[in-house]
Amino acid sequence: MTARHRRYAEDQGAADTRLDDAALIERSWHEPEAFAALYDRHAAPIYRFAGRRLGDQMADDVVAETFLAAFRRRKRYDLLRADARPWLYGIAANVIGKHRRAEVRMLRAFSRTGADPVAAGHADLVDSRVCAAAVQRDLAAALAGLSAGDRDVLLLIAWADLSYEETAAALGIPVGTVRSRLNRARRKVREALGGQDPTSSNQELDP
Amino acid sequence: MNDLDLVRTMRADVPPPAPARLAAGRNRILAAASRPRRYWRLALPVGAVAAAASIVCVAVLGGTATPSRPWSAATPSRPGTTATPSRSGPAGSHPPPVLRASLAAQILTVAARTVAAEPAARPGDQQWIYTRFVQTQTGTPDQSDENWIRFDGLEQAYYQDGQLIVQPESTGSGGPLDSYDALAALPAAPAAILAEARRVVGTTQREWENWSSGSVVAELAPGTVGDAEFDYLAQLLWDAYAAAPPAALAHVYRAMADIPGVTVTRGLVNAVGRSGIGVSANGVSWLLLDPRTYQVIGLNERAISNQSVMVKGAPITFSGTITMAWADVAVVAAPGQR
Repeated sequence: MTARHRRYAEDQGAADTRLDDAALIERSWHEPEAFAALYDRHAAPIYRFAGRRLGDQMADDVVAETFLAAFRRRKRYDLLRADARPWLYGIAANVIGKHRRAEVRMLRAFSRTGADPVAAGHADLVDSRVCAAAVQRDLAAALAGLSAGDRDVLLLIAWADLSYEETAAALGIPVGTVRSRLNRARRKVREALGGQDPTSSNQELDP
Repeated sequence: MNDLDLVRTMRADVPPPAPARLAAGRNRILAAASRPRRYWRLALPVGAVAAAASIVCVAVLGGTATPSRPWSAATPSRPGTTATPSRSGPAGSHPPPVLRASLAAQILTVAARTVAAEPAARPGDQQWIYTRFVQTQTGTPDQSDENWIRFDGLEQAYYQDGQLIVQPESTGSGGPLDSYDALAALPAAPAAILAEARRVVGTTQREWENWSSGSVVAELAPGTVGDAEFDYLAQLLWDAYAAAPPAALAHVYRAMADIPGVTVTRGLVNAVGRSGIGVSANGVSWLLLDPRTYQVIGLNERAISNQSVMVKGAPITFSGTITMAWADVAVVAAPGQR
């Protein structure tokens, strides 16, 4: 029996909270049910990320599809990466990408009407959304106008709070590409906001 | 507030998911984890191949399959079903597997004619499909799984601890009807089918890898655009286990015949011992066809020796073969019936 196998045996009784993501995933190779603990850790923020991009209804399917895809490819996970968030967000970004047209359609509708279709699933939010500030409508138009790759980078950083390095890992692109995509996305956002450039005073470009 | 902070404020009041929604998603993961289902399989163990050699008997001439065939995605046109020098691809990037390709093309043409002559048999939307799925893997116990799914995919059922569990599925997406429609929606011309495949799987290595992560048939990431096209088509056929439109099935076989480097191998055996004709683009994964009806009867894969899985920085290699089969498929009156 190898050291690796012995460690499994020791892990059997350990609380999942004591394992990092990589260890949980490794355990799920032999005990598939252990994958549920990974879901418990990360599903809520990913759900919210998906819901913010596509609305509640689609978020259900996006999250399920993301974790099912992650489960299927769990044996390809690089166990040296202790934190699985970039991996999971990368898969989620792919799944969300399949609904790119819906995402853009909803952003455009928001920008045109001031009513956000994504908020339609949250009855309590509708009132505030109906009179969304003009700047939010311009923002929606700007997001709709971004390329899918630029939008992924911008939203992984702004909405999922991933770092540049984590975003690079999630999307499988170099960090330099993350920077250039982010700069381009931010420039377009500023342009879309036109005269009311929020960075006009003393704002830095970096977050 | 800078522009990035402003983006952060957008939809910031979208609440966290309700516990019930999260729980529903968790159940879907657990269902996939606790029992092998249609869209779940063990990962292919990679490493040395020994066992495979005993069952693989390449009935063709022209050398061994090359796992990595240089072949450009930018090929402007597709060769026809007969072997021609153009089959060697742009700039003569790989040696023309003339005999191999022509045998594969011949067999796939026969397959296309045979399946096209079958009468169309599409179950009703609310009819139940019973499947027994069997998977074998060298060194692990065989897995057998019974499942019932409504043709429209809106309900699934299975036995757990002797109890029949019937579960609604929210969208039916990925169900038998979806798979049937996906085949029916394909264009007829082989070139158009392959163009559709490239549209879906993408034209870069990274795009194929992303696509293949969700694919049952593409455990190994495709190495060439031809592999990716083949995997895409094999996945369509594999998913249409319940029913496939005969004409579309024939079109797919003709399209497969046009993928450079596709080979056929006789004498492969599926997970339940039925022998079949293997069709492959990479020489590693084989779609098995019944030698008489040319319907899909299985998927076989063999481990390859030049890959290993990294575990805590150390490579672990496996060996052996993995085979899968829809051992039984039947339209039944109600879930639980066989």
